[in-house]
Amino acid sequence: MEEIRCPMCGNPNPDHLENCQHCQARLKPLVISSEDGPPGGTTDADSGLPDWMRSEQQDETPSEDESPPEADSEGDDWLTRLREEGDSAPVEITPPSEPAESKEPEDEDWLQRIREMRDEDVEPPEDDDSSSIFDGALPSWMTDEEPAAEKEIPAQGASIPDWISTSDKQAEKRDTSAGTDDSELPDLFSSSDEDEAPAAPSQDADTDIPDWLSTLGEGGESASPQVEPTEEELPSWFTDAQDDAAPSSAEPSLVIPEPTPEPDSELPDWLKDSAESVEPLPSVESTKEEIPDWMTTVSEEPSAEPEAEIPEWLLTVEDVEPGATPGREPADNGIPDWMSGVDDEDAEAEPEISTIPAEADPETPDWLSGLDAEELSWPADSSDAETPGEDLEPDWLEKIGEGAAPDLVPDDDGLSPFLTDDGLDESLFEIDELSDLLSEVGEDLKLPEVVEDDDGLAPAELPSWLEAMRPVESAEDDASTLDQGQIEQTGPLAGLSGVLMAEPEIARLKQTPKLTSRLQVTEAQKNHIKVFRDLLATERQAQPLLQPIVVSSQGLLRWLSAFFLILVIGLVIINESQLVPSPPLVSVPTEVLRISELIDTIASQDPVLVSFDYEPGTSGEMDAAAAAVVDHLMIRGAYLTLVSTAPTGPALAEHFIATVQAEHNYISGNQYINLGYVPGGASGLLGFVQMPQRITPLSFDGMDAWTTQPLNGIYSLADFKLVLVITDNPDTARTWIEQVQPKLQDTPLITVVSAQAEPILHPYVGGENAQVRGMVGGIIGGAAYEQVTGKPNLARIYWDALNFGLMTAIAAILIGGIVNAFSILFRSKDRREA
Amino acid sequence: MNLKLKSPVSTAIAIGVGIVVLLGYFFGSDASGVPTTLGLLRDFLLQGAIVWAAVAMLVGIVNLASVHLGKIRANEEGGFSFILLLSLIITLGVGLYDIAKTHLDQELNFQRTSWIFNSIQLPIETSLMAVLAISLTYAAARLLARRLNLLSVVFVGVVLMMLIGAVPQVAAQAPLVAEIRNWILRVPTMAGARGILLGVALGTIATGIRILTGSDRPYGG
Amino acid sequence: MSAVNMSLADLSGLLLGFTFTISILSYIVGDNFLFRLATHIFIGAAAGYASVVTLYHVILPQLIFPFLDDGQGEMVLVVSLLIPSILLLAKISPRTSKLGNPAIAILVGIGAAAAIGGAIFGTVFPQTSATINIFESNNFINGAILFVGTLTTLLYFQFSARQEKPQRAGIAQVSKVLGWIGKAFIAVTFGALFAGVYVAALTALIERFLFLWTFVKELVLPALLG
Repeated sequence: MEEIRCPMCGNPNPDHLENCQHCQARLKPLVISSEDGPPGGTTDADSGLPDWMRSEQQDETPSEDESPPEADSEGDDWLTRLREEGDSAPVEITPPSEPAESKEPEDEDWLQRIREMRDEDVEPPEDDDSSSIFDGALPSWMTDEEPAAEKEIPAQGASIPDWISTSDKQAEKRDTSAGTDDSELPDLFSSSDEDEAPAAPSQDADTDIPDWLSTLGEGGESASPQVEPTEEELPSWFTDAQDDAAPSSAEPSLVIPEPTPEPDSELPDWLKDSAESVEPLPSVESTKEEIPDWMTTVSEEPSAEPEAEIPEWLLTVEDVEPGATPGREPADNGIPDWMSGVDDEDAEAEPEISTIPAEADPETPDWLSGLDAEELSWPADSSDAETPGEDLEPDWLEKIGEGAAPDLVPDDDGLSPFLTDDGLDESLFEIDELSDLLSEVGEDLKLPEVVEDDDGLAPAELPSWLEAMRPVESAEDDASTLDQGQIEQTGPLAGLSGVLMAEPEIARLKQTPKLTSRLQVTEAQKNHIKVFRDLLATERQAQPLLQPIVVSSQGLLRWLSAFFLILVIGLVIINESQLVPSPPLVSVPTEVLRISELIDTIASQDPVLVSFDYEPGTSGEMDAAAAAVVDHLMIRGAYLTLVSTAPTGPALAEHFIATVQAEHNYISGNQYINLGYVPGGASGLLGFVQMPQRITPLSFDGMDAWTTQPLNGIYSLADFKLVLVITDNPDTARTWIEQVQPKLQDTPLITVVSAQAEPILHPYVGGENAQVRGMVGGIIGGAAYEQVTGKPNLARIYWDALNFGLMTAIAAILIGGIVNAFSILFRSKDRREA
Repeated sequence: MNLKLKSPVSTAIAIGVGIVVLLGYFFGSDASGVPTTLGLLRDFLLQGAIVWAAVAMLVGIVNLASVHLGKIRANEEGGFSFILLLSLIITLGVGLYDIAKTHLDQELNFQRTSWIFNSIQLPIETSLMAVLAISLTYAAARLLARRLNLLSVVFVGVVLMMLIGAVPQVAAQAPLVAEIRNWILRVPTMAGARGILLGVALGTIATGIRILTGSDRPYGG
Repeated sequence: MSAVNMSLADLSGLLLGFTFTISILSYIVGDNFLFRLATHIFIGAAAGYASVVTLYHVILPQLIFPFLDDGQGEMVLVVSLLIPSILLLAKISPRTSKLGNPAIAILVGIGAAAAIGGAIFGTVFPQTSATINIFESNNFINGAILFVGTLTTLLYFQFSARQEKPQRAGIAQVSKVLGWIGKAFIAVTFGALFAGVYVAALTALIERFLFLWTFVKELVLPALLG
């Protein structure tokens, strides 16, 4: 079953449905609902959709690149594409109709339907000049441009408003509004006020007047340039336009659909001029600054009553010279180049527009013909559309009036209404959803060249007239739907609800690249910023000390504790006190006693591996703790093999042997050997366990360590009689226990550890099956071991100082704790009272 | 499992060598104790680990020197940085001289380097530890002022009991106090320590497995 | 120790040690120039000393001296060790830093495997076994305390790690209580550790004062008193 893709939500629907089953949008325009399928024979489900609608479905993300469209730029909305085409192709309107058939048959679907509809509803024009239903719809300047085209496409010339045709033929062309059926016209084409509409075509009744058009109608002096005046009805703005170029841009914007394909060579001068001026693309800003006077007047007199009186500009139409189209340049007497070009070179201008295919009627879309009759009222509509608000600033008018295509790429610092929330010029925002759109479309007309994609597809396939036509309608439709109903009544988009609402979204999306380039700050974000700044400001401010007395007491406490500690220890050391008794033998821990028992089993020259794995900082404690144990080993005559996993270990070991145990006169190579440093932590230790000879081939003093007695009989650590680890670090001790102890087999592992490591290592210590057979913890353990060996050593020297130092420290901690407890109590009490 | 192979080569290397070393625990040697091929490969990697760890330490020292060189150039406390670099260079120079003397003249024991170590590094580092005693006294006195709850009271109580029990005169004259200290050290402390050790071991295993499976790549992968 | 019997090197060494000790201890009255000077000298000396030790004990015997030998196998081994070493040296420069990642990966992989093996065989199995058999070597009360303390401490780690998982109210409550008990045991353990650290630091202070007093007594006082 053939599917029709919804133009709104993009979901496929059965082709028999009128409305989308997903979003309820009308799938088939009312106007063409009775028509046949696409003539092009395209079976594509999307063939019934215009290209621009399909592209909208495909990608709603606007292109960030303002450069001419590329082959993959289909994701851009149609308006962007039109702009880009206009930018990049100032001359070419569209290729002849042949690409429309051959390359974009899907376009023909709706076109064909419209054609057929047109055939049914509207009489085909018989007279190129007078009977063209476009006659009243298109500004006359358009009709003037296309005499050649008119011969082939009768409707085209008629679509050009008469007022703009500055040649003598204007009168003939401009007013052929008879027979128009407003009901079939798009809203924007319909007259907002048929009674007051000065332009002949707009006098037809319009039942679909959108609100905004009504507003325009009320605008009185809306002074919209789209009004299709007769020569005698030339509006005042038209005369004013001699000073201000902008007004003239109204026509191009609405005429966009009308410049149906004509030969390139027949581009009118004004188009030429505009095309030429496209190259120095003026920015939006610059155009904004050049609001024509008439627009200023409009903005100043929004409440002018339009119903009772003919606008001034209409009254002054008669006074206006036909060819005096608005122009920006005072040097040209206010006539823009393009207008003067029309004046002077009417005949020359026509062939230039004739890039429009000359295949005449068969190629002319019927729906365009149908529009001819309807568009009699179009100029009036468009004129109304010009002045919806006070500050309406029709950019498109300005831009076109300047004869230059405005920069379609909004400046980064531009005043585009889509930029920011807060930085938005509200007046711009009010108007520009319509005016910007239309102006940009108008620019496209002035820059009608279509850039061919790399694959030569998109631009070449669509007839220029078609391509130019649709956006304008869409823009206008959109504009109308902004204020009015959701469902389009006439035109190619008739019956599509929501379609036109999507257009402003597209327009906004189109601007998003600019949005991404600047920071958008909402009011809420501003508030957050302010709060954050305030917070930072308060953080920078020095906070007054709430409890200065407490702080001083803390300082005093610190000083006092340090002073007394130093004083007590100093006095004890100076006195060289030995008064404090050593720990009683009965209180010696079993793990200490076990070490003694193990060392007692060591015979002379038994190899004992001793690891000096402590830092110089704890050497005072470790020396005192290990002194008795190593002394015991030396007494037993053990051959000490020193090793370390810390870089400072070898030096500490040498220092220990040379100073603490100096009495034993151990000589390197004879009674001990220093294997040096084994880096790598656990990995290094594991390697040392597996292959000690390869890891530590040389001794600390450069000897071949493993060739000396008794190490020449050592092949693994299990060959040592005892392994003693002296460390201050529980992690180092754990590494030794984890990596080395499992490989030791029956060789006992004992440790001398710092008091700070003792608690955490206790779980490893135990009896025969324990991983650590004995442990001496800190100076207290060292003193206990001295008691076991009965030989006072370094621990004994420190003992009294430790005794009184600990007492002082405990007193300081207790006193300090009491002081702080009281300070806390007082502080909490004060807080409660406060 | 969150596998991200940003650096597949490094990840593969880490996983591969890790598995070899880990399997070496089980299959590193045969029943007679002779190393297997896997064991030989494991031994090579372990020897390499020692060498590469040493090189990594040298790289770290070079980095330290470059940082302080940069500080001198930027004039950020350049005086102290200059002193640091000077100290480093002098020590390194003396050490290299000692190395040369050791291997060329068979002069033993690194006398000059050891003099630097014993005269500068050892007293300074020990003094830093001594200063810690003063700071800890003050910190212990402030413990309850900072946080007063049951656990902090328990903590301070244990600290005081352990210190009081460690005082030789108290231990000699009030054996009960020493017994309490011993009991604290051997029962509740050992229970907590065992739990901590098991927790650390399990955490180590988990971390190691994450590395060996490539979930963690602390090597810049 | 007597100045008369000491060499100039020993004497100057003691003087330096005395000076640096005073400089560091001056931190008790606050941060000062002497303290900073001493610490910077210490860092430089420590780094230099570590470099020398590393070169002497590892680099030379493992990478340099084998080149001087003729062994072909040794040469292959050394080259194998040398390549990752060179890659590691690339870590010196930020531009070439990434080249060192594979060598770091080797180190990390080996370290992780060694840590896993050690943790399993050195801690998990033995400590679990000791916990299971805890009543064999202790009376019931102590055994129970040890058992409960070990489990609750371990549970505290697990509890905190799995806190985010939804649990039934009863289980959550039990976990909370057990976790709190474990926290109490950890507090006791840390209290004991703190006391040990304090004793270690106090011993270092005693050792320094002893050094200072020895220096004054042996060198300064004789010099002052003639």
